[in-house]
Amino acid sequence: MKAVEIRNVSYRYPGRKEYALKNFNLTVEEGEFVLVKGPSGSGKSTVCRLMNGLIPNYFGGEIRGSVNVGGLDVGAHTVAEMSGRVGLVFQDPENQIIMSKVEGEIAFGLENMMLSSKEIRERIRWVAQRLGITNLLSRGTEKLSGGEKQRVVLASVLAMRPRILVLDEPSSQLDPEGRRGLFRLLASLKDDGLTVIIVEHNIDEVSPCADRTFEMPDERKGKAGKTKPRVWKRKKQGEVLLDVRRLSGGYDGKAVVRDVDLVVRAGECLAVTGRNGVGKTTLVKHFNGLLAPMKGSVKVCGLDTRDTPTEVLATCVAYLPQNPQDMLFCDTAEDELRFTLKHLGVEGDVEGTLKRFGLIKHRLDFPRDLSVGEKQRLALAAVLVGDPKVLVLDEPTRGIDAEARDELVGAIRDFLARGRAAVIVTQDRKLVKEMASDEIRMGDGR
Amino acid sequence: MNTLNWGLSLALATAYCTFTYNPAYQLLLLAVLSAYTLSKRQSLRTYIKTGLLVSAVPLFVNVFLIHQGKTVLFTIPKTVVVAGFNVPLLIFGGKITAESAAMGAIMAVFITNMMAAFQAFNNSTTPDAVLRLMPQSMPAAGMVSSIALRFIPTVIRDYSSIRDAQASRGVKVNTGNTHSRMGNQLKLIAPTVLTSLERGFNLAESIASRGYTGKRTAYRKEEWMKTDKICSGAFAAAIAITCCLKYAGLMEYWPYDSLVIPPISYAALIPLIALSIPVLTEYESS
Repeated sequence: MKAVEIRNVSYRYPGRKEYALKNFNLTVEEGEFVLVKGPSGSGKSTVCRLMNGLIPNYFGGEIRGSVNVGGLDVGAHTVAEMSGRVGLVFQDPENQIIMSKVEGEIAFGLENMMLSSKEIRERIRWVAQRLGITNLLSRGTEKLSGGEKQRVVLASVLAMRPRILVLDEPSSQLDPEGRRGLFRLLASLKDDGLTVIIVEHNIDEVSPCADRTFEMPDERKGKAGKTKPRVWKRKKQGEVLLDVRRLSGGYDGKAVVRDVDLVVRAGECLAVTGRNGVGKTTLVKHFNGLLAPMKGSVKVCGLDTRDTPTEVLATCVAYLPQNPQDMLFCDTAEDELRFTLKHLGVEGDVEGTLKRFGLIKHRLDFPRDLSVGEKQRLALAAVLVGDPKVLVLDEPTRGIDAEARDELVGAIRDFLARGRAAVIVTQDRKLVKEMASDEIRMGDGR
Repeated sequence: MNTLNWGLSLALATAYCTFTYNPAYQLLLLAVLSAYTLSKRQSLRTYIKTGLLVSAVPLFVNVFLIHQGKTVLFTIPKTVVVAGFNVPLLIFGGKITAESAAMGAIMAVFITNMMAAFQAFNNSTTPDAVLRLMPQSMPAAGMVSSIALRFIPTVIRDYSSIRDAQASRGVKVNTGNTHSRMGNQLKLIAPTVLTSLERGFNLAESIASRGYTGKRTAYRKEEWMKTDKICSGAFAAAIAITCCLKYAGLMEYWPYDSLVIPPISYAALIPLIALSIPVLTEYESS
């Protein structure tokens, strides 16, 4: 029996000219585990929303074709009616947690199903044991780590006992250990008879669990030019651009990182690795003065970060935070680059940089409307247009597809080849292998 | 105290605050709300800082743009801002009166009180409890209030991330002169609001996809202790008294008529005594 049957669906969001999906077809058998892959902007999230009726019932827009999920015609049923059959887990757990206590969060969907307190209690106990989160039930949701939050979100969906589970990049906030745990769990849910449909960029890790892989049709395929080979050799004899001595630092007088020593020279790429919550972001926020050292010193291009404000350090060190969205606040893509140049008081090649990052066709687009990969590239272009000497990237490959990732790697190599230095906070082992001339593994702030 | 009582105490505080310009009552209300903040072991520093910041607007408007009152403190050169067709839009400067300064100060305390009352409610309740309190016939109100309660902490977080991102691109958010710093801080508002709205939209999507229609059972109901019933009665009575005081004209005060020492009616202190209940319960529980 078919769990999902999407036939010749074309859909566009309200107010949009272009279609998010065009003549799209997908069939999933009951009990199947299907991995959906495709580049950023190919419509993967749209397919997820289509399967639980958020599209068209919640979003509106123009839709053609037929969507049948769990034996129900999606267009003829409300999202609430679909929610009992299809569970949807989104990318960022932060944006899905509604309640303040874990137990209340799991109970939320069950209360909406009008279940009795006794039934709710039993389901909470069942799902907590199944996912190994019994110890979290009385905890506040604000205090959970990224991995714990993702498990709680999954538990709150599974407690509703859907027949089909749809996950939209559920591992993007997890460290490698958390990812392995999640994929093991999903494989065991499939063994229980659940239909699992997962959109994921960590293809190598999910593939062994999946029965098959469905590739999203990509209209852009074959249109992109070949990436030029970049020449960059790992070397260790350049000028010192970043010098960190016995650094201890953190927030509100509490040290999160302690006694860190490191030196990064021109042409080098340092990878900062370690599991979630060990202080990697806290460490790199010291490199451009967003945090002042509690002890020790940080010198970037010879400037002491304790005496130099962030906006002055910005001429030498560019910082790209985890969420590229935070970097985008102008009306158009090209305005983003001009914004940096204006505030740094330097000249730069806006058009050339947009071309280099494959964004020239989006120069007049609203940055927040771009796909995840494009936003990431635009944020990087916006910080590199000022020609800094040091580039600090915080989890740059999180949530982007293979093509966007290759583009990013190319851009960093170009940057390093010009005698610059980079520091990359990452959990992406492949990126470490490809790029790092050095690696520091952090564990509990050291 | 349970959520309904927090809701009633918020209703009482906002009614009391909006019904009077009497500075004595406003200052007494500020004292009660400050005592509540201290009873929660929280610092008053943020309140004072935010209060002073917000106070600047009504003070400026009343002192420099409202040209009422008999007691002239001093005079500054007058500037007339005109709209189209030479219609005067506003007059800046001229006679600066004690009445307008008093009104500015009263409005400043009024705004601080409103912020403090909502902050106290926010600190004492959870989105879960507020969602349960909402009538099932109003699903949209439940969803909106739940998202709104999550909104404030996420706005603060998003603001700080965006400020860091802008500083990293050379924007002087912490240095430079006050004028440029304030200008740059104001520019953070639009992206912060946009980011927070996007978050709110994602949360609403999540709520909808988990079957929320407003009609729901309650897994854990809030217990109603005897003290909760007494508190509800006290708050309801205090709200009724506040309304009666307003209609009896006992809370009236208008500094522009004549700047006199504000009168105090003992009856108007009753709602403030009721509003002290949360202070006492918090001290007791800590």
